[in-house]
Amino acid sequence: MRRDWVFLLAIGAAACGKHGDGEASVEKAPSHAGDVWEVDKASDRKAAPATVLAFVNGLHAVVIDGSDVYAGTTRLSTTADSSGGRAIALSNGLAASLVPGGDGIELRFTSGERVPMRKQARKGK
Amino acid sequence: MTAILHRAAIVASCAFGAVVLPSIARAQNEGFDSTAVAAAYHKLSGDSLDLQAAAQQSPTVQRATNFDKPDAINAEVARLRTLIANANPTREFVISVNDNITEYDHDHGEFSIGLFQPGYFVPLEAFGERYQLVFANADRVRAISMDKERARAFDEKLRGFGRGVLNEIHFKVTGAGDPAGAVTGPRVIRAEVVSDRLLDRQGHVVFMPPVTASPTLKNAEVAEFDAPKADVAGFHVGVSASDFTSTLERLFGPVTKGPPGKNAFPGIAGMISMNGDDCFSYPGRRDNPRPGKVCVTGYVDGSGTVRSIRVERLFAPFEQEFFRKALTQKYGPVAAARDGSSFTLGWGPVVDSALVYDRSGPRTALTAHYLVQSDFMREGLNEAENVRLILTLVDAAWAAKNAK
Repeated sequence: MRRDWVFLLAIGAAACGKHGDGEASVEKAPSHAGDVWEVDKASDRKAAPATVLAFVNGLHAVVIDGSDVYAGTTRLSTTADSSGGRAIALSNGLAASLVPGGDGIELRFTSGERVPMRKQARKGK
Repeated sequence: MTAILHRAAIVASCAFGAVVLPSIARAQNEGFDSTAVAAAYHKLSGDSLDLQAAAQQSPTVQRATNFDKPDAINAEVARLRTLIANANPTREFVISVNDNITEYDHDHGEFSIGLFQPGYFVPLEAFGERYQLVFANADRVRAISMDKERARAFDEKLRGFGRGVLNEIHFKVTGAGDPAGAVTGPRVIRAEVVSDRLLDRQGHVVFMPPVTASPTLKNAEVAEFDAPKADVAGFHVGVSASDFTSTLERLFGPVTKGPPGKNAFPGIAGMISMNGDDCFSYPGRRDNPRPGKVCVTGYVDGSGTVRSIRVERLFAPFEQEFFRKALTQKYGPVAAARDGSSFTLGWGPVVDSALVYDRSGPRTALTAHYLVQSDFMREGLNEAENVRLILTLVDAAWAAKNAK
């Protein structure tokens, strides 16, 4: 998984400038490209604030394809941030970042909530 | 005690506080004019007051003889009309409320001011009616943050007078409704705290919270809820059925397609669903869904465009305010709400009841539901009740064109 993330970052770096930074647009998720990541620890009450925030913003299950994140039918372009992750601008000033850690990714909101994400085991269609 | 009972208890204690205020509170409230506050509310919100009914309640009319009563009512109606027309929306009011400071929250490093927690309000009476005064920037005034060492000393001071304080609030009326949707019902006065002081019973200042304006006040310029651009959990209406389907399949798994149901809104021709109604728990069923379960349903028109979406996710029990806060942060001030142990919040224009998930309302283009999945069959097993969150979005412009 660590290798996947490094690969993901590499693609993200290569893809910089492909779309405007911080843009969101209505697009379908890619059928095959990228990987599906979902919030982990579904039953963990301590993770609930972050999971609720992720759900409301569509980040509870996403396709990460290079520097693009697909949340439902929303494509969010990301930018590199100081923590070594990818920053995502959300609506009304909220932002989040996807930060590599351990064998997976941690979803961190600027409001302080954070939750680990795991790569979905199910194969895409 | 459930969250809602807790909130109700606090509201009750505020209400009783108004009755059993210590002398210092009564003295400081002598200058408070609830009628002027209510008048500013009616002027700003456009919520009309029944002038005839209000006039009947006035002492002048009640003292009048039957012979003079019609003239007295007419005069009082004219006076009330002028009072509301001349209400000054920029006027600053001061009210003192019996309040308390909570125990220290070690996780967040803060105490909280009781009245400024979600769901709290100050009951007021004016024109023979009851009003609920809420503060739109309460969340920005609520916390008394300090490190543990300072908190220990502060806590000792609080224990010295039983944590009770007099909350002296300087505020302006800004409109109607609780932007967080936590206080519901008629005549909810939205106000903005301008400055605040917490006093002990001797009148010494215990704490002065820094005050910042609420987003709803700052942002006359912040965009109102924009239904055509809105999404629920990332999903938009107006996309093609094929894009919706392929996105669902990629993110979650296989979908099913079928007719929309007997009572579907005119123009809805089909349904695309992932997990259907599987997020609903049936009492006593062995294989009820577990936290983490996601269900998505889209309703499609004859041209193959998604016009309505419902996204659900099941959670382990959590404090409902997390959901309310996440929603208001994303969608802005709540347009309509229905409260209870479960609650529903709404944004955007009203749509046909055939398009909403829960017809008891709110019937708005976007709704968010917090539903406790109670299962009396499992209560004896001491199992916690799960929470089902539902977000629904309707293409309101399309619905208006296709209304019966």
